Amino acid sequence: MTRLQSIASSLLVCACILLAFPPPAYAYLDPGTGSLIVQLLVAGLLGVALTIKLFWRRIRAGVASLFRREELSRVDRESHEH
Amino acid sequence: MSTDRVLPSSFRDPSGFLFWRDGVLYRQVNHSYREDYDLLVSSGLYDRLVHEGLLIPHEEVDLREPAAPGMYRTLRPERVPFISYPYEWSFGQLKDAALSTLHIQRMALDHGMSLKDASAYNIQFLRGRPVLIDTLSFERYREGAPWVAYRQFCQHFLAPLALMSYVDPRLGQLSRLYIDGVPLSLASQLLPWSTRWRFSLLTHIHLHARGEKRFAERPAAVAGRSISRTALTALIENLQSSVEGLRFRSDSSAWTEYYQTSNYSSEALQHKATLVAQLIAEIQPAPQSLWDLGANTGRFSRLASRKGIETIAFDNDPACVEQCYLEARREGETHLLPLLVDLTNPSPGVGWAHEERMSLLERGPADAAMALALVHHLAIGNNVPLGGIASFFGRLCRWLIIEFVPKTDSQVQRLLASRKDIFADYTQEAFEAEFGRHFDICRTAPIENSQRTLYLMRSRERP
Repeated sequence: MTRLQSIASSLLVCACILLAFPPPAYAYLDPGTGSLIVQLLVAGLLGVALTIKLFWRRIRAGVASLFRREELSRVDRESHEH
Repeated sequence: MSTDRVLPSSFRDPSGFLFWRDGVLYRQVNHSYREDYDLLVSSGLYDRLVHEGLLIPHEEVDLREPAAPGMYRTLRPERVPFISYPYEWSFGQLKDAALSTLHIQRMALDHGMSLKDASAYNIQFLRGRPVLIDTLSFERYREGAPWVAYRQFCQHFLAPLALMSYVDPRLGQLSRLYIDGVPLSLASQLLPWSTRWRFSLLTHIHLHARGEKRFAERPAAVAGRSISRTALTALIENLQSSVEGLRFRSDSSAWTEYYQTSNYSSEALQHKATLVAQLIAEIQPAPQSLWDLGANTGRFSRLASRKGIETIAFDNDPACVEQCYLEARREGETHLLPLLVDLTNPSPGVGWAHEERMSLLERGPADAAMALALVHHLAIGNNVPLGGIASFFGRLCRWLIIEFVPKTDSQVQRLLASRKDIFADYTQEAFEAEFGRHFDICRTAPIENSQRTLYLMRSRERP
């Protein structure tokens, strides 16, 4: 590994760490440790639920549009036949 | 050299402070808040919030002498006619204030910012709607950062609302005891066990309270943890639906049906309204502010507010204040603010050095006050001597429209039904003599079809 590569990889590791550990926001309020843990937990749960909901909605919309397309092409075919 | 008076409530946040100079209220923005203030403006968040009536508008001004070192900008915010506090709001008012706060937070996130506090004291009612008055409440949103004001939101809004909804609307008064909101451990204990079946209350109150206790000494547990934007949005949305789902539950109180059950004939009531409107019109110069003491659901307050007078309708019955607020909101009334205040124990100065939140008297005097069908409740219902009532009223207003209800009136008889009459001094002559010490009596008007009399008086103590 060249010196340049090693510097680049350490920078990458630093960037990853910085992204994973956001700096504490400037705050004059004490959010409270216990409260933060609860927030992480509850927001995590709600976030997963929201993602599933959106994902599910997308699947349903996809399936619905597939049927609609079939329906449309059937109507199209029928109108051509007439 | 101008003399500045920094507002005693303006010390918690180092981003800036409010101060009075030459009768004008200013907000200093400190250099330490420069980046966030610039982002508030450049991101378009300020314009958007002001446009939607959610944030107090301000003008940037150039003061030659800053109020304190470290000044970056000085703002002159629009004045709020009357500062009110969460413990004086009805359920609906606190709920609307909570929803505004969450709405603002969602808009802030859309503009790359976040609320760094969610204090109910940062919300005031302006033209009938809740607005955020603290322009310095925003900070840059950092991807992954939790909402630093989550606990404050739960303490200031969710906990009192849940208690008012599930236990008793009078528990809104807990906010007067706990200036940084109702402790979640207390709310969790007071709420019925069944509230654990509601996901939002189970998590934001019950679990939250347990988590606070259990993890208080483990700061390492949160180091480096982050919350995705999706999760944060889901959290705010969930808080929104939790608040929306809370309802004011109270059987109509004895007072909301007062006009149906009182002894007034409809002619007397109509004549009283005509007289009150005339007496308000007689006050010169025309009053800018009017306090209706014991306003019930605001029937007579509206005689003033609909003339454009900034009117506060005070009552001590939560159901009356709620009904008055809901009606004012439905009708889009912009000059009427209903508030929950018990005149026998009005809001004191509370908080640090008794100065953070003003007493009722400190927020006066009002240009005019009305005390209709009230004196007998204070004098006979609460044993306050007529002299004491006159002296207190003399301090809180410049003009007074007051109704005297004699002992022979059936409403007074009802108050005396279960107790000994120890009120030998409760007579119209004594009333006029005691009020005459503090006021000049300008007009006396008997109400037709009743034994009652209306008076217009001018305070000698508050010219």
